Amino acid sequence: MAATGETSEGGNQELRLRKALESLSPLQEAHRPRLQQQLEVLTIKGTEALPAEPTPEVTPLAWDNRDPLSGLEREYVARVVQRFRPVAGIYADLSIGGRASAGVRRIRPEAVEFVALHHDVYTSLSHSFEAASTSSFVVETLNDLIRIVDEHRRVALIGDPGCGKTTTLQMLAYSYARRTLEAGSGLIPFFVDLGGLGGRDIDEYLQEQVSGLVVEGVAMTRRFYILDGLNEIAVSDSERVAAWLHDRNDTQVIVACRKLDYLERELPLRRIDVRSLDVRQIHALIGRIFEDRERDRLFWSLAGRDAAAAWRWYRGNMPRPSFDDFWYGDIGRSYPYELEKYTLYNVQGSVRERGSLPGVLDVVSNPFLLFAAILIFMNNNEPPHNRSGLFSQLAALMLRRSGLLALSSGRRDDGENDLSTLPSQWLSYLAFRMIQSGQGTGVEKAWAVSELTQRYGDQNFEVVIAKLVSASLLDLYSANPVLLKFRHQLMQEFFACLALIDEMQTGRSAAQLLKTDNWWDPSPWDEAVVLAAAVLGDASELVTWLTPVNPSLAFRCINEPGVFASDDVYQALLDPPTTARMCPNARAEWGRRIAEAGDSRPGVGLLADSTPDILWVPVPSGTMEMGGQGDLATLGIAGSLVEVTIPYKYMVAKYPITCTQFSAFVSDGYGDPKYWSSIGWQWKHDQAVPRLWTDNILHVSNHPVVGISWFEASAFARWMDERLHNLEWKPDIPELVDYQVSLPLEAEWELAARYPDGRSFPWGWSYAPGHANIDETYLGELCGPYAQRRTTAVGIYEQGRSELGIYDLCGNVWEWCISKWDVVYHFPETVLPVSLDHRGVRGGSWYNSVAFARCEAHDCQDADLGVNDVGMRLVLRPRGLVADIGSDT
Amino acid sequence: MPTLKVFVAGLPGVGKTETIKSASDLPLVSVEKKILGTSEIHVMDYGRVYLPPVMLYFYANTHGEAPSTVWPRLRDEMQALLFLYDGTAPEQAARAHKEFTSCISDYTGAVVIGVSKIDDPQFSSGVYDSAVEAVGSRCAVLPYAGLQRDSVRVLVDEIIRSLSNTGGLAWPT
Repeated sequence: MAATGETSEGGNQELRLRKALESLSPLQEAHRPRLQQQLEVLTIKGTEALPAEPTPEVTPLAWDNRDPLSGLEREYVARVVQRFRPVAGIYADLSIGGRASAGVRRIRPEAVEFVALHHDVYTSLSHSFEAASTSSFVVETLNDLIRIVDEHRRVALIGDPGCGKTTTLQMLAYSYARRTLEAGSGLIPFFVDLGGLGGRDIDEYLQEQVSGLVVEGVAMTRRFYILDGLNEIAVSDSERVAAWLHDRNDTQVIVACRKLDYLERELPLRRIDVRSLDVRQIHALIGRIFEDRERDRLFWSLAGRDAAAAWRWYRGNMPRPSFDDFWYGDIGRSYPYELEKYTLYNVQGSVRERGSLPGVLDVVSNPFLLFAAILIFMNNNEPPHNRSGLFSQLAALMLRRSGLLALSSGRRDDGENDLSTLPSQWLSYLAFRMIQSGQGTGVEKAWAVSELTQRYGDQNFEVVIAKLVSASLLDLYSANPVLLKFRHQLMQEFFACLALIDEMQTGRSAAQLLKTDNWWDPSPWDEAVVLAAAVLGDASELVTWLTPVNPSLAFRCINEPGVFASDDVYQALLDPPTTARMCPNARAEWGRRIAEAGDSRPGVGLLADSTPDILWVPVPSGTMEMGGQGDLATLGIAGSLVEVTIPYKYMVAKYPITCTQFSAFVSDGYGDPKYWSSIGWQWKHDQAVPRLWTDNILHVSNHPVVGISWFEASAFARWMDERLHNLEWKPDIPELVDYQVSLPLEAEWELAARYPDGRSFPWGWSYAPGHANIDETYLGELCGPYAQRRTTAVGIYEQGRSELGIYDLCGNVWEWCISKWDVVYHFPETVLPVSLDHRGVRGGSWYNSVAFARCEAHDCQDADLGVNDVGMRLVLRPRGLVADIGSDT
Repeated sequence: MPTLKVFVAGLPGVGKTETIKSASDLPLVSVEKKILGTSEIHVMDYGRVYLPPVMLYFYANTHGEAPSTVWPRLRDEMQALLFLYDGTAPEQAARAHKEFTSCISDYTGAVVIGVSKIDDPQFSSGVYDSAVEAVGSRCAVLPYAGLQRDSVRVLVDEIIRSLSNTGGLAWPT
């Protein structure tokens, strides 16, 4: 997009506003100051007014790149074209290799020219949980990507390992160089692998990578820096890169980085995320290489036996079967006895709701791994069946090609044995030491030779490394051939995982290898550990080894496709010896499982007569200071620092009201006006169940009920009050013999939560990861690794219970209070009249960051709104102290 | 101390969601507003901002509902109306004005008009001119950029000012 000579966007806005100011009618004169203020905001502050998005510092495109190329520049650009012309060679090699080594494979001729750059790309503008559909777009082809890069000029390409970032950058370098060469002018791409930077001067390093042309001699505005491997350099180096980019803000740039690493290396660039391949793309990509029969053989093998059986059934039983409808269409109701249809129904549900593909498809949604699978299929005539099989076979294949296996005695022709050979052990040790020594993905060749020699003795490792490089297992940086790396980071992690298994089995503790401080932060070991689980299949030993140090990673291991662990190991993950690191993800999953089986924990379900089984926790009378957290003031939910005395003993339910407990009211009292305030009854009208009642993500029997308005919550409390009195149930506390069941006053809630010392969280004075179901990963307020992004079973956050033994006071769901809400908290609280006004809610929810999780957070909700993160809890207090909300009728 | 509800109205695509998103302290959420005494439910974008001493709540009609349909059902509950014209769609100005006129025909509360997308190259000052001409002295008309928080903030300030003028605010200043 060369928009030379256009007025800048800021200038356009200014002109429009000035015109508006000039055209003000006399009646509108009063608004002149506001318009002037708007003018100031839009023209002076410019893009600074967008705090949420690191926006590229775009300058008008007054490029001087229309100048013809100099002779040296032309030569350089021609060399770039030459260098990257075979960039698709990785994939073309696969096709050619397949054809040569497995003649039975029927391959499409055009596959040779196939370029695997078929990524969905979208911009991620904000917190990932927010729907940002209006600001996302899809890039399907390389040309689309070029258009986006042209438009935004300074972008970061972010994706998982193996998603094709490097190849994409190489193709960009090729495409831009070719365009410039053909036009005789334009941008000059400088492709730079940042991995070898290692603390050196950036300009010097760049110049080393760009041979035959003095970079400083090229005008800033015609340089296009293509920087690969931001994740391969130290964080301190990435800060230098950020500063370096800042000084070159009129230069076009694209930087590639692995997604996890970008968390701590974020640059002021427009972010483009590379998304995994979806099922249609996987099918289409395989179809571009193989003829239909072979395509289907590979694809359905990757999809797994169940999905393949379901596909056969679907094709034979549906009137107009199509591949797309199989995955995304409506197949109507299914019953468990219709086995294949039922399987299909589950597959569709999994794809739609969790984006999870069956079999190995999930794994090969990563393009690198898809092409690895294709390569294996071509060579072995059998597709891999899981991730570890995929890596094992690919590594074995490459080792065979290296010619090094001759060095091992007793070798047999199967992949597993190839991986127990010496060359495999060398690679494993090298990969392991590279991570362990903190050198990441690139090391000096001399260091690698020295390490291997020390461990394995007198072998010419210079020659070995040369062979491994020629077999594409290792690679040398082109600009700095003393620097060595694995050809692909995933391959390094695979070999490291083999060594890791050895270390574990020889008695080394996880704490010696993995970090124990901030254990939830991403670690270079993470992928290797998960791969180790996949290699082992039965990951019981690994999970047991890992759980005390990093339960979160242990849970990831258990959830890796094809991995299993014994029940006692799973249970240990729920309740590990190091209680500070209990894994909420595991417990959340456990909560859902026991919901299916029937959660029989006291206080969660119903009594025999269908009365909700509430466990009541006594709270002593007392005086406390409410509110008082200054940080919450900016959000208007700080409450006010006020001394409050609750002069009576009362009781608080141990858990929030669960879906099962609320369902008893839905069946019994929901349709009876006597439990409702008049306006509540008017609001309910003909509604038969609460909102979200049929949402199968939120409506889980032992999860807190959500989607209930304040009217519904208070009707439930009245119904429960009547029910307990009818049963003649009495608490053990004499002062509470004449009691009232109710929603809590804010003061009652806060006194119970902050007991006994006015703490900020039910368990203490500061937040601790995994103690509550909140969004710990919320942008800008990161406080831990967990974000369930939905409700969880009540009572599973053992560490988050209050001093009095009350659960879920922090997180999971906000809890309705009985009182009217005001920005400034007043005591005594006001309950009547019942209206649509805001009512207090307390405790924060799964949706919120830690800012809202403090006990002081004094927030509210419209009384008539039932939302997905507000539920309720009951209290029991002496009757007559707080107005009965039904008394307005 | 007031908590105030503002209804953000406008034709589809005018930028209501973006405006609430920019104005709000919290991530945007979608809620269902049930009309009292009926089974009528309106899906709304919902956000809020705390501008001491007042907490402002924003609600916007979604799902392509006409403002003139939704507003009469909610106006008793709302303290202000923010009506948006699409600054890049001159062809919609007449329809927007018809909707606006219908909304305020017997409404005397606080109203502000925002002309959105001034940061878009397609912005037409003609939309702004026609809005100014159409509303006369009834309310302020402000062009703004819905994706820019500071720009939306000017609009919000104007709502508060309008509330003061119409007696919609009753806190000591």
